[in-house]
Amino acid sequence: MASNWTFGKKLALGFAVPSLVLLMISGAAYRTTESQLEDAKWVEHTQDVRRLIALLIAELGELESSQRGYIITGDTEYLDGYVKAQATITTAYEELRTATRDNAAQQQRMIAMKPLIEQRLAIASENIELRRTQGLEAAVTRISTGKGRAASEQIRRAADQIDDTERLLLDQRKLQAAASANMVEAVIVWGCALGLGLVVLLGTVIARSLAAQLGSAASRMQSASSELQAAASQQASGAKEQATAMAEITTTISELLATARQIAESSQRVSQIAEQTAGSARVGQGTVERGHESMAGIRRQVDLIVANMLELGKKSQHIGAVLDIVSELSEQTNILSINATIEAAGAGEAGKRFAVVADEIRKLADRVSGSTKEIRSLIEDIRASVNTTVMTTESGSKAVDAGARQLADVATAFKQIAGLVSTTTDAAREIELSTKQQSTAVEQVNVAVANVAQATRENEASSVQTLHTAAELTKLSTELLRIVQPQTR
Amino acid sequence: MTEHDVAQHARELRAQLDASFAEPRELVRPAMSALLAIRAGEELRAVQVSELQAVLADRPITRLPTPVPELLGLGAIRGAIVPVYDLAALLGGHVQRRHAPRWIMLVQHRELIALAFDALDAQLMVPASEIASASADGGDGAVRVQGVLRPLLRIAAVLEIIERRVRPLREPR
Repeated sequence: MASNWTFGKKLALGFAVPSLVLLMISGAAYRTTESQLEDAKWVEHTQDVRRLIALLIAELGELESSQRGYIITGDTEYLDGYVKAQATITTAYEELRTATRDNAAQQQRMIAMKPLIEQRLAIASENIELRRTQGLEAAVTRISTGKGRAASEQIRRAADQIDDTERLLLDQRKLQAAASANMVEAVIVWGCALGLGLVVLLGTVIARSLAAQLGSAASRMQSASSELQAAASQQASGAKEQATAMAEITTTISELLATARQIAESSQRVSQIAEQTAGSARVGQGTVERGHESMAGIRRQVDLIVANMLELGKKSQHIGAVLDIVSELSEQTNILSINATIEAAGAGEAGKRFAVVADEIRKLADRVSGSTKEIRSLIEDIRASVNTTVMTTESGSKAVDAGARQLADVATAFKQIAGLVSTTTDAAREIELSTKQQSTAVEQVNVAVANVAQATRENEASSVQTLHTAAELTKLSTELLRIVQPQTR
Repeated sequence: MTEHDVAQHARELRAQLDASFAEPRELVRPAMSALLAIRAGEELRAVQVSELQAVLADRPITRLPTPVPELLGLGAIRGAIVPVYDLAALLGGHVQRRHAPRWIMLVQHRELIALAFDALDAQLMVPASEIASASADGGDGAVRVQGVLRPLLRIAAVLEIIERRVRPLREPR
């Protein structure tokens, strides 16, 4: 038997096989009983046929007796028996013919009997009629012909043949009924024996299989329940620790919630300060832009100064050129005075007066030369001052440019500061909003953690209950194993 | 120098010029010698105007091949072709220059001769008494100009040097 069959299968098999055997026995018994009944019916039928034959023969005798009584006595009371026997003979014949329809040979005999009966009834009727009409002699004479007796004898022989046939059939049918009864008995006896043997065999096999299967299952259940008990114990311990941890988490989350609220308040203050800083940065940016415009004005003025100074340098160069001409004229005058002196010296006494003029011209040329040198010195001073001024102004211009660039950098820095402060403001607002959302979330988490803590406590109680249940299960499995396999424990 | 100073200076010059014409002539010029303070190469000298024929500046000098190294070339001066000599070279100085001397003084020898020098420092009218006489050892005398004692250049001595340079060229070979 397959070891992996379920209990239902095994029990079904245990009931199915005997049921099948019982069904087979019942079927066989039914069939044999039915056959026996059929045989009994045919036996009864045969007996009925023989009873009708006997009735027919008896009524035929009654008919003859009533006929003879009337003929002899003339008493009409005998006619009542005659009429009754006549009716009974007719009825018995019809019943007998009906009863022998299953047998063709008997039907032939019945058909052959009918004219004999009709002849005998007609003879009797004629005899009675003759007696009534012609008297006793006529009737006796007629009877003395022996037609009536011959007809009765033929009827009796025919009835005897039918009865003999029925008797043979009766014997055969009785034998068949006895055989059917024996078959029924054999089927019942041997079927019961076979069913009993199968039931015993299957019961033994199924009982052993179920005992082994239940024992194995109970053993595994015992092992599993032990493991379940250990696991439940660990679970109870873990649930207890979890409950403690959840309590700590609840405390921590409460502190976290308080901290988140403080952060939200700080973020709000930071946002306000950042807005004030952004305002200051915008004011500073405006101031710097105005300073930048002033620097641009200074730059334009300095450029104008440089242009004027360069123009002054050019003019001083022009003065120098003119002074070169004056100097050249002075030198030429000097040369002229020298040559005049020479000529005056060559003219002797007459040239002395001219020599005086020439000397004055020389002096004048010397003075012009001196003045020219002074003017040249002054012009050089002016040019040096102009160059110094131009360089200084260019330095100033560069300083103004540098200042303007620095102011532009400062303006850019202020703009960046304003932008960064705006970003900081936005960030602070986002932090504030996020922290508020965080606070809300933490509150929700707090509620959830409280629920989890409650669930953990319930889980702890359930774990303890599970531990108890596992212990009970271990006991039950041990007892079940003891019941199923007592030799193991 | 302020504007006031310049105006003051101009007034002084004008006063001096007017005074020079206003003073008696004899008082103004007792016995004066006209001198030129010059520089030839590194030599600072003074030359009497009376020994000169003319003083010129910036005249073109045409160089020509010559065995006389002191001869710078020929110049067209006052309608005549005049030989131009380097005075610094004639005085014996070692001269290294890239340009010819700017100034020329014209002297009369057998013909006109031009002496080129580098700079005309001043034209002076010096009392004759302030000119140191020629010394006994052959010195040409000297005069103090602006605190610096300058030897007097004697034109005759210079012409003699030129004569010594050109005389061998005149002799038949």
